[in-house]
Amino acid sequence: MQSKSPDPTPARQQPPRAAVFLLRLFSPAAEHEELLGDLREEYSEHWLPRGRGVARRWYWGQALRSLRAGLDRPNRRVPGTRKGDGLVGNLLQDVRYGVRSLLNAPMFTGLTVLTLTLAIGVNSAIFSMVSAIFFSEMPLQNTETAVFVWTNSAERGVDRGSSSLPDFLDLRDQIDALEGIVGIGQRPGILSGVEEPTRVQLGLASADMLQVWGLAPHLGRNFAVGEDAPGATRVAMLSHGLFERRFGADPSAVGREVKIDGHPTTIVGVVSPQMEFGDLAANDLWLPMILDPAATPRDVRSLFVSARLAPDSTLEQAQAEVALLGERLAEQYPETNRGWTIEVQDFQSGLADDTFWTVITLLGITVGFVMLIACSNIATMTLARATSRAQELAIRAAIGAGRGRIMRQLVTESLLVSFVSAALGLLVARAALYGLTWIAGENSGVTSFFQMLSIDTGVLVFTLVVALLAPLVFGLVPAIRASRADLASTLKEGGRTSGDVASLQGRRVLVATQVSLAIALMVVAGLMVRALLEVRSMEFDHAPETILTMRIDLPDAGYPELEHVRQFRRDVGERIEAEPGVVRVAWVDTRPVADFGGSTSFEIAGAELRSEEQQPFAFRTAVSPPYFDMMKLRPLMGRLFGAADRTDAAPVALVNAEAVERFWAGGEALGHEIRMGDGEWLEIVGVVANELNPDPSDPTVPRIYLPIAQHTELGGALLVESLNEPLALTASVRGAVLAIDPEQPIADVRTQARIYADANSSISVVASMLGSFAFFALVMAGAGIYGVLSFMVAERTREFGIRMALGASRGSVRTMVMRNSGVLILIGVLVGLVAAFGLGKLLASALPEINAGDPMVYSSVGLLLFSVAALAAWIPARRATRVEPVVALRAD
Amino acid sequence: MGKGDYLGEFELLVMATIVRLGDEAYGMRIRRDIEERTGRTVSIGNVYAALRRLDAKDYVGTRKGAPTAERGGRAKRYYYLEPDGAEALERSRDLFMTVLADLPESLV
Repeated sequence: MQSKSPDPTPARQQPPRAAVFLLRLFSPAAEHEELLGDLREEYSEHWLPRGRGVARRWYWGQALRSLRAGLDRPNRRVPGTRKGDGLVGNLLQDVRYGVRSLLNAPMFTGLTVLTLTLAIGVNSAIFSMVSAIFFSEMPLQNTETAVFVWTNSAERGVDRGSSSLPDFLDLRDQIDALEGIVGIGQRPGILSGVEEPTRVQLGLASADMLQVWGLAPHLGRNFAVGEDAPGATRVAMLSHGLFERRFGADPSAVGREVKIDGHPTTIVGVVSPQMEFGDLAANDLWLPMILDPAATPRDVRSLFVSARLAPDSTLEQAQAEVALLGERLAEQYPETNRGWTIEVQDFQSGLADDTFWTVITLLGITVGFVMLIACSNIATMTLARATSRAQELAIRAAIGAGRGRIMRQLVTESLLVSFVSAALGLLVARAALYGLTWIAGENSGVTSFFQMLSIDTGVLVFTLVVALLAPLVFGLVPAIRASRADLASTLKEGGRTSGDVASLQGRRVLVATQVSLAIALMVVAGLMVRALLEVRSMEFDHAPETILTMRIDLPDAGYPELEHVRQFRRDVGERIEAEPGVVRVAWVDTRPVADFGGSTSFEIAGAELRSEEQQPFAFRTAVSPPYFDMMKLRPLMGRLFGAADRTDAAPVALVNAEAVERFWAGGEALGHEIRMGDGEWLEIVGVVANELNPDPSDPTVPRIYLPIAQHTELGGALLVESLNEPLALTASVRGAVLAIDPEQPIADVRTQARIYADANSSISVVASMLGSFAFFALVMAGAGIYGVLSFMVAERTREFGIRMALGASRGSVRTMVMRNSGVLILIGVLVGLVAAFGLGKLLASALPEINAGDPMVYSSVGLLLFSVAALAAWIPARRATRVEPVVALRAD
Repeated sequence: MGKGDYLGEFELLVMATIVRLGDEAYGMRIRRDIEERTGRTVSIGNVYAALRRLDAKDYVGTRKGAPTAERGGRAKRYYYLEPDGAEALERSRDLFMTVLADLPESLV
């Protein structure tokens, strides 16, 4: 031996690494320091006089002989007997050993935990959404008899809309197949008499609604029969939320007197907390809906109507009866009811619409894909690790571990990984839900839905089930393989087991599948993002980011005469115009996109009476003159409104170009007179350009503009265009309003730009969810492909060595490897694109903004994924062929 | 572990060696000392397993030494007898003395 002359530098005297590794595995961590130190000290003493080989042999002997002793636990009086250990002892031992062994493979453990964490996280987030629909309870008992009643108008595009109060009363009195027909409405109001006055959302309910739904009051009593009659004493119930927020859950709130819209009102109870559901959760107070058919016209349709099937009645009977009533009403009141039909829908299908289900289905598929990719990645990693651990397992088997014992060990390790991942995954899910709620925006319509989202016990159970099932899948397969291993050959070969043909095929399928799944997800996400970008990049004539908007709805108590309202608006407007930076101030009854404007049918003087379907209709907005300048609506013909268009002048109206196109066939509308319902005749004094806005449900529609001075109502909104940051104006606007009326709140303060963004928040939410899934899928798939291919290539190192030794060039070997992978990837890409097209079609059926056939998205995603996959394949191919043939041949 | 408990053979060896080595009683020395005296191969793992058991019975106590270069920067752990351990060792020695003392010189 040449190395007889000892090298005194300690750095050269490293003991065999594998033996150190084994010792670390099989001895308690607390003892590592002294134990390894002792061996090291003695090892160098052997090394100095007797040479490296002797020292190493000695070290190995010590390590192997220490294995069993290392597994002894303290307090055991009789060491060495393993059979009587009992399950718990074994379990503890498995866990301890598992932790050690996982910590010893930080790369594997980290990647597995990360993969599972993300997969479980997104899964739980989605499940929270779905469970918010499936498992959260609508506050309605005995749902099997419950139905919803809708009114529809095909011509106006109203599908499952609300009912009017007079229609509701007719329904209640004339339909025999239904009972407990109750209505719910909603309107803003002002609550005073408790701290400062605030704007609140009022829920209006039939007096018997809570009884019919089967909800006992949380405190006090429900509304009593007769409290919904015109002229009854004013009573109200607090929502559970307001009871806690404003009254500190003080039971003495019941019986208190407050003011609602200036009217003294007695609080008789607190509504059951179950009513905090969906849109209903937005209601702060509940009032009995005053059933005065004279108070609301038949064409103001704002009541949500529910009912129960009468005993012995079927849904079909009810449907037939209401359809008949619909026809009767249309005949009886053609002005308001022509073209409207009534429909009964059962509770289950009424809970969420088709669009919603499509999106949920899509998300479900997405989750499935992500989970599949994650699982296949973990399976790959576990398989690879099992192979590299084969020798360790063989040693365990050789020193007496049974097959079941080894399998239990491996499953325990998987379970450890799962539980850690499940815990982390829940954190991820929580963060994801926060993110969703944040993206959805605080003021948008979907918020109420997202507010319901929370991680509940159902999600916890779901996560635990996933966490328990996953390891059985990932852990058992390698466990079975390992326990079948041929001990002698495994020990001899140093742990290399060449993959059999079947498992090789399996891995190839795995690669192709991952590519297809990832590509399908990315295409769908790409389609969404593109639709979103298109909406976002819309160009307006006006500058929505410079316009501050807010609702200022006045209570009827303080403003008995409309002249008071006009005076208030004039005064507030003048004060705000005096603020620095303010360009102009406009009053409207409904803000573009944010507030629901009324669609109304109208009549053109002198025009031939048209068939029902062609009756002209338009969206009606009352505005003050500066509105047109603010929205940059040019007059195409005639004039705009001026200060002179007041109640003492002739009543006038403007129409937009779309209305002229539709109802005057593009001809002359100027000077014509129109009439809505049986209102007064209005002269059209001008035609303005169409309004552009990004509301997907509101493409170019015919519009009628009325001067707000001639059509004053209590409800209104203020628009302020400013040269400076508009939101900074909020305080001075509030000051101006309070200076005029100290009891008057302002509400829903948003810039017009924010309103546009909120209107598209459902697309944003879905797009960002799909986007993050798709990114996750891309990373996972890339990592997975890389993992599988490096594993496959590493196994063939020897073969490559032979090829190169026989004269193959590096390039040709590399080409061979790349060709193999390339075919797999290409198949994956093609299958993925086809699947993506199917998903895209599904998505487009739910969201009309989506263009399922967008070639840009398909080609760029296909190219991107192909490149990522090719890169993932190229790295191992390059590594394999860079090895010297001689080394490769020796590789074991 | 109550009083009157006797030590196993290997534990006895380890305890006796600790006494013999005094201030130098740490893992490697104990192992080698036993190996040299008994002539049989002793693994370091077994020594530590025994020390662990003795520690759990409060028969031995430990203190940590300074790390040294020839140990790869790792510290030694020194062992010494606790009063309970000394008592148990004495008891075992007395027992052996009693039962073995009057045996004839040759048993074959």
